[in-house]
Amino acid sequence: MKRRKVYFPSLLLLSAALMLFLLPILAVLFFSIVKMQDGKLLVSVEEYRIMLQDEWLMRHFANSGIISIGTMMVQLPLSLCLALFLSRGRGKARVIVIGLLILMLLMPFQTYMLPLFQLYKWLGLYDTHVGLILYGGLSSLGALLLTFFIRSIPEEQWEAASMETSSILRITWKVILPQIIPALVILLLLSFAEAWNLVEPAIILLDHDELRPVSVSLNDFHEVSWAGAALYAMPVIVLYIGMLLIVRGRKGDGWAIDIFD
Amino acid sequence: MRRRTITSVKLLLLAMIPILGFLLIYVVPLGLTFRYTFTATPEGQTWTDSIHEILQNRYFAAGFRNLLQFGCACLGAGFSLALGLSWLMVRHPHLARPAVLIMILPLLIPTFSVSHLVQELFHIDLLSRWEVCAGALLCLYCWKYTGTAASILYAAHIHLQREVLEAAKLDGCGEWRLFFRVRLPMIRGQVGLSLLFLLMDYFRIYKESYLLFGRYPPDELYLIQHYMANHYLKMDVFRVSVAAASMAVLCLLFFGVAALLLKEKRVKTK
Repeated sequence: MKRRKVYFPSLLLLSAALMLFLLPILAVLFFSIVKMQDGKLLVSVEEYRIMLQDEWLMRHFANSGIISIGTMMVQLPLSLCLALFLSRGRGKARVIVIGLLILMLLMPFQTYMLPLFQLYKWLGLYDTHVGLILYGGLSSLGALLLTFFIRSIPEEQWEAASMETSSILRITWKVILPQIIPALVILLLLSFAEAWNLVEPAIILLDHDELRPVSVSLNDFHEVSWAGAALYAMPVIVLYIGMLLIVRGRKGDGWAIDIFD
Repeated sequence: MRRRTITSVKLLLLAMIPILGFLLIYVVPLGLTFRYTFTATPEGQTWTDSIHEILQNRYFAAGFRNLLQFGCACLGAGFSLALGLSWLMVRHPHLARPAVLIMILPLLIPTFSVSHLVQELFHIDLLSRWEVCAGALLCLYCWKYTGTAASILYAAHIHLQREVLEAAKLDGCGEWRLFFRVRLPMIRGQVGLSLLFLLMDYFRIYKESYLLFGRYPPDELYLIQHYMANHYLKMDVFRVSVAAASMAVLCLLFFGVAALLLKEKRVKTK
């Protein structure tokens, strides 16, 4: 049997690079419970206790939860509807919509923040969570991601299914959805992470302090900075691990990386 | 044929709500930004005078200059690291899968969670030197985005035809030569994609900068996004719109060039 040649210097380099990627997250978790006192290291969960008892901060965590879960709930069905049209529809409108989606994906928020602020005031969406949920839910990333995945499904399958039923919903449910589960999982994860990490839109589109998400308000809360940072990252890490397990479970032998294959 | 048309119409109707919502929340505001550039001139001034005044403004010019200079540093460092990481993963395919899973994680982790660590690590405060601040921002950018760019490159590597690589090796191609002369030209599309990804995230670096330095970073790191955000607070519609439209044009220019490069490649392969 042929043995694979191992390149030790590059192996060491790759391991070191991976440690560097993980180290900041581990360091934040470490410093959130280990404190230096009189030259000694002490394990303490005091910061967590202060934070969990702080009603104001917990309300902001709840705001972030509402915005993130709301964004996920809105983005998934809307992106799927749009992706079905972009991948299985016909006409020049499709090309124009794809072009606009890519364009807006690339534009930074600052390029349209002022008219968006005025528009939100006019529509009554300013200073509401619904406004932020719609902003995240209608972003173009989800539609483009799902379009890419649905296009990889052979058209013949869609054609064969449409011979049996004319219901688009049924075809989507029976043929498309089972084949794009990894894409839906990735979309949910990205959508949650993006909304959880919302900074500029939250500053511009919200006025009342009690409505703000934790991504904006934690900056002013210096007493519990380490525990705050750790607790703030926790939902994303848990969701990431959970989603990986789902994808791995479905794939049997693989990891989430198999979506690239 | 008729059935296909009916399906197409049904799909369009299904997509109407997201399309209208997207147009309203994203495309219309961007269009309005361009409109304000021509219509929201300050009272008592002509459009040409106002534009001239903005172009002469020290902060406006510095914002654009810094955006380009710091962009070169970020993209250069980010892309070189991504390239290096993808090469390491190609050499160690048994480690590649866990590596990708680890390297994608920073993209998902909220910036605030690590910004405090970076502030402590680089001792960032109001008196910090700009080189230190630039280093901190560059490190944060590289940590957050290069892993995903490297994963994009690696995903392209695993689809390369083994026969071509074997043939190159038989011809006496060394490891480095194989990577730069054979592998990279074959994944040109994904190289462009990873560069676009890095560029897109660079244009959104205001979030990282805001969390590290607040509204007022050192002068050398004052980007056009800071100019817009600060004038937005004063509700100066004209200045914000001119800066936003200029930045949008700059984005379009960059991405247009990238799209042209990718298109040219496709024509050649035909």
